[in-house]
Amino acid sequence: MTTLPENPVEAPAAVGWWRRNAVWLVLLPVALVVAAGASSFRIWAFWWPNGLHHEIQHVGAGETARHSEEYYDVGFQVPERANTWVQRDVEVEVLSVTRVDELPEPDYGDPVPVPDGAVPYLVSLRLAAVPRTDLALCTIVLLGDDGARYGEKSPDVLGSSNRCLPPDADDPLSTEPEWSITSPILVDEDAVITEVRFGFGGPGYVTFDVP
Amino acid sequence: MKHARNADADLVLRLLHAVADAVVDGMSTTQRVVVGGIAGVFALTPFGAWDAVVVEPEPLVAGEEIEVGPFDLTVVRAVVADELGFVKPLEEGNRLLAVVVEVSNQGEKPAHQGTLVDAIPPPADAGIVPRDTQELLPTVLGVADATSVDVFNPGLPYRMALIWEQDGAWAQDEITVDVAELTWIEEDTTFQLDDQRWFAYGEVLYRGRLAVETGNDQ
Amino acid sequence: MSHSGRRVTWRSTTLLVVAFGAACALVNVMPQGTILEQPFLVDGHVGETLDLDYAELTVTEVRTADTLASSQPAVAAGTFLVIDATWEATEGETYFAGAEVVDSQGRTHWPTSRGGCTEGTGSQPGYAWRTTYCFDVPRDALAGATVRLARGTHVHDDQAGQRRDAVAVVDLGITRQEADELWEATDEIDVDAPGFASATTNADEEGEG
Repeated sequence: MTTLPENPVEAPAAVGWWRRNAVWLVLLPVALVVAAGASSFRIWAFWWPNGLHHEIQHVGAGETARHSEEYYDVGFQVPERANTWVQRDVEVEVLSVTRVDELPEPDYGDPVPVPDGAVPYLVSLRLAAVPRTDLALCTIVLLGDDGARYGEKSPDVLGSSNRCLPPDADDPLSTEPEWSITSPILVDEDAVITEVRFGFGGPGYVTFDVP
Repeated sequence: MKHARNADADLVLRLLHAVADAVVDGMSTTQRVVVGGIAGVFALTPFGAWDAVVVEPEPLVAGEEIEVGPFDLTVVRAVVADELGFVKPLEEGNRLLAVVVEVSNQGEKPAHQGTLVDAIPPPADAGIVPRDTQELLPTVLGVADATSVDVFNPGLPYRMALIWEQDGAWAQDEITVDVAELTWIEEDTTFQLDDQRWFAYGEVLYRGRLAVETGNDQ
Repeated sequence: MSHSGRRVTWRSTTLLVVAFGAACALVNVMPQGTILEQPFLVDGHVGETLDLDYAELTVTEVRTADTLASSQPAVAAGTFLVIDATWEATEGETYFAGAEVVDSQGRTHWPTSRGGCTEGTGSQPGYAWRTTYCFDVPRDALAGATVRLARGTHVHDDQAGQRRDAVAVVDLGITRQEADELWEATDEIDVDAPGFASATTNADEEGEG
């Protein structure tokens, strides 16, 4: 038997439950976050890469934006890029967003009528990128004041599946260092267009204000 | 204490006997019968009491309706032809074997074409060769219009042809057709795949010899 | 000496077991499938435009046919319930995967892609898109049938794809007497390819010309 150095009655009574479990109480929210993260793989595996979810840059009317993003190349167009992450840098400027009366003549097939309740818009862009940049899945979206995203579908209303390249392009690879395109989009006749979004299927996109 | 091993064993035996006596004394007649039965089954272990029960498939007769999974199913006939609808043999010299069935989904929900395919495995003695895949999956066509019916809605009589490619050298006049058991998976706890579906474990419910007709008439 | 509160005691073990039990019971008893995950049903009838939040839907016409004329004609095992509908997405490009007919006995029937019909269709904001669903159904499924259309898929029987999402339930308005008439009729229908809802007449004239 040894003599205790202090009075044994005082010390334990002063430490409450919250103090004794302080470490676990701090770890509890961390554990909850980890548990939620562990069961949320669908968000980053399926939802995040599929659709425009991440605004890379937002520029005012008439300004030039730079869409810089890495994408995973499966090698459809350029076999030497197969199964690698490729950096894609595209410079984009919105030249005009114009409301017109008729849809332009399609390159193939019959003229497409304008359905009731819709009006066609023509979006003209100036694009710049190093030649042989893969522009597949190019997405041009008009954002209406009603919150709707117009023109997400590919191929577009005239059947063009590669909206970022001139109509005579054979494949989705760019050939010139700089070029311009015009893409038709059908919009609700009552909607007012506030923004243009530009991307490649997702997740990154750049936004342009419309004057 | 190790020197007293034999005496210990004897003691244990006597103790067990005493316990067994006490337990049996305290049991009713019914309990004695049940326990005796269980003990009897254990005693028969060396003679195969625990072997899986082998179920002999019941005879499959053309034109007779049987119940398989969600279906009332009638195997109508088997036909060998050079061409059926738009289906042609992929390899020259081969022919097509069609097993024609009448099928009606008795359930509340639609059944997939694959459920019917699962129920009728490729006849083993009919010289069936793979088509575009390694598996011996048949092409399934409606007899009425030669279109591929992908879903069997409840309460409808469908007449379907399951078509396999057959080795051109096969020349017999009968095939053996099996109908496999379909088991309802309410909740897939084994593979964590889709719940509420029919699954064929491979047990053959019905087996029958079917005469093979020749010709192109459906 | 260790403090008594830090030791594994019978009391703390019991508390832990009870807590686990209560949590398991809560998960099992909670009406997850029956209440919390239920889709939001939007009821309507033929000709009415329904607001599903993510889209506007109108079932425009209900017909029956024994045969669907197309490059590969399809013959019904019962009769084809041919349902014309227009979709207009309101948020962005949307695919409408769910389509099933529920009859008065509670049986469900799925659409077919035979005869030029669609099992599912996509649409985007700005204009209405017309499409045709064809359901091969038996005679006793006609009277009192409803069609259930949504963006969430119907394929899984637990309707997981429609959890807490709007689903249109459109009464096809078929009475018992009409059902008999529809069943007796031996019409053949040439299903229009999907297209702009308003451009139907235009396309038809062009097709015939």
